[in-house]
Amino acid sequence: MDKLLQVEHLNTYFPIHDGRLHAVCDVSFHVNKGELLAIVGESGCGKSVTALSVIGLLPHRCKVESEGIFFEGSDIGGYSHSQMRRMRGKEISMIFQEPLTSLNPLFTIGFQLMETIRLHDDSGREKNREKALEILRKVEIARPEAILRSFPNELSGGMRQRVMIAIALVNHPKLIIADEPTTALDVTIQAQILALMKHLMAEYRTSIMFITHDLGVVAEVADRVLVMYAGQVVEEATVEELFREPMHPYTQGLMNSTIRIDQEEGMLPTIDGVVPTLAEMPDGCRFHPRCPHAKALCRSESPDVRSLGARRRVRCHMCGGVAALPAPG
Amino acid sequence: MGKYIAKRLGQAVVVLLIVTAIIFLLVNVAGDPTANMLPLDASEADRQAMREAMGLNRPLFIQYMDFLGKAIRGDFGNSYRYNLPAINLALQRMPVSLQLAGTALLFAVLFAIPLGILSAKFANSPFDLVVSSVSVLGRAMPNFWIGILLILLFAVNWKLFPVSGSGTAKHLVLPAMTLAIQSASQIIPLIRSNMLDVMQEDYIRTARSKGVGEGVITMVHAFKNALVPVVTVVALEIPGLIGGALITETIFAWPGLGQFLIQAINNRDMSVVQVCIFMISVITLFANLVADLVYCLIDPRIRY
Repeated sequence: MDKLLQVEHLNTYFPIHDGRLHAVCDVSFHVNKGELLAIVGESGCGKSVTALSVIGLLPHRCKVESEGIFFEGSDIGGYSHSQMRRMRGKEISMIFQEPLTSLNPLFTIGFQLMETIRLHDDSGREKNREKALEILRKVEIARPEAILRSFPNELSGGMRQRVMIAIALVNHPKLIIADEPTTALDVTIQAQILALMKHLMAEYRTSIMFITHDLGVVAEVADRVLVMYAGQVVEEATVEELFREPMHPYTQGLMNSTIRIDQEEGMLPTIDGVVPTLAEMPDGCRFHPRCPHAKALCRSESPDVRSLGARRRVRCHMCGGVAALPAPG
Repeated sequence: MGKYIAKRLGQAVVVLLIVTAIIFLLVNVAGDPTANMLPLDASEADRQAMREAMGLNRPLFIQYMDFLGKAIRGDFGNSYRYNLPAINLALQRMPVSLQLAGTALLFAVLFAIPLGILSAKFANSPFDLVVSSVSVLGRAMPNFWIGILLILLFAVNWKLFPVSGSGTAKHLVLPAMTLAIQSASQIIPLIRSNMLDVMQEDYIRTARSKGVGEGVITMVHAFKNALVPVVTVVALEIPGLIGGALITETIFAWPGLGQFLIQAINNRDMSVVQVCIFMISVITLFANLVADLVYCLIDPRIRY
């Protein structure tokens, strides 16, 4: 399959008063054309920062370093601000978590939608309006003419997220970065939005980088999955492989702490401890303080990412080499 | 909307009724009006006759109803000093005051908006530090001092503008600047802090993700959101600029409502004092109403 986006050794740093925090640490991944890559992890594991680093939306004071962020072969990591600005909304667009606050309250939906069209593909007021109406119909919004004249506060959360999807899709970008697009919505709306995204993705042949902490959503929509922990990629697999056989102890912990329909009563298993803060990263493997399988090696040496087959990678001393892990359960 | 305006106008009538009661009582508190109207050597009998002629011996409530009845018809009595209807005299001063207030407000807004936006854009830079310090200074300096300072620099030393008086556009500059410096000093930090807040909002990030340029984000997406509180402050400034510029108008001998009010107070010309206060109250109410309606235009979430 063709790679649309290839990120090589991405590192992102946040400046603090006495140095800098290493928020994203040596992250490499790719997104194939027409593929939905899910990035999973707990809050604060660096998934959003990874996404914002790719699209160039982090505050200027943050430092993004990489050995290349290749988008259709060109290294957008080295693009200037204005080159990136022309990419955004046209080649790469983004959908955010909070539909309630992500639209400007003082401008009509029409203004906010048509602004995106005008910026990248202006073909006159009437044509732009036609395009806006068409995309609103595509995201299954009834009465699109009325919606164009509405202000965000007049729409429900689900409607606003549809509008956000419309804004992201209107210029037919090759890649959409969706940062927890359904987290703020209730479950029934969430299912509708997910179905809509999958459907439109196929129709427009768009790739999606889908950031979520919800494994249920991952199982539903993803083709491949990247599991992140404490700023690092810990596991990468196709969605089938990941759910059939999670290899990294962290992935296993995440799976175990998900409610299953066939589950007996009692306490839900959890992963003990909390994600380490960026300022106090443990030595060795970043997961070792919480890992049930941690050995002396894990405490002293940081594991490298190992490839296990063509589409599977894992960052663990215990996987596919030194020692085998017991099956999850 | 029409209903809301009608309701607000109704409330304004109530407020103005209270204002008339206050300005009526004010004059009574200020002492015997006949004291100023008769020669010092007038006899007590003459004074008594004068009081009776003016109806001052009647009960307070009756006097108030009488005052109110006339006020409704636009009759606030004659000025003791000019012996002309006080309201006509005050209305003559009005355009002069409006001219000064309008110019001052224009200066203030023209200064404050770019400076506020730029100091937010370059927050904590040396530029921001200078602007913020100067606007603190502007708020701390009393009007009469700013006015005298401007006269000293621009009129006495550099002879760019006349010291005082009115008539030409040049006369307008220094008094308008005096008022504008204070108003702008209120507005600049407000725009700065609003802009800083707004620039953190999710919808600004959305605009960036669409490929909108930083200039448009600042001037369109963010500035409109930062504007609502600014409208409030500007609306609160307006009455202060029109009738409330007592000191500035006096320093620059600007023949507006404020100067007229000060003169009337000094002359104990009570009808004029009453009508001036009444008119300033009307302006205040009107400015507040306009501000509330402007919110509606800016922010669709505000509906009455």
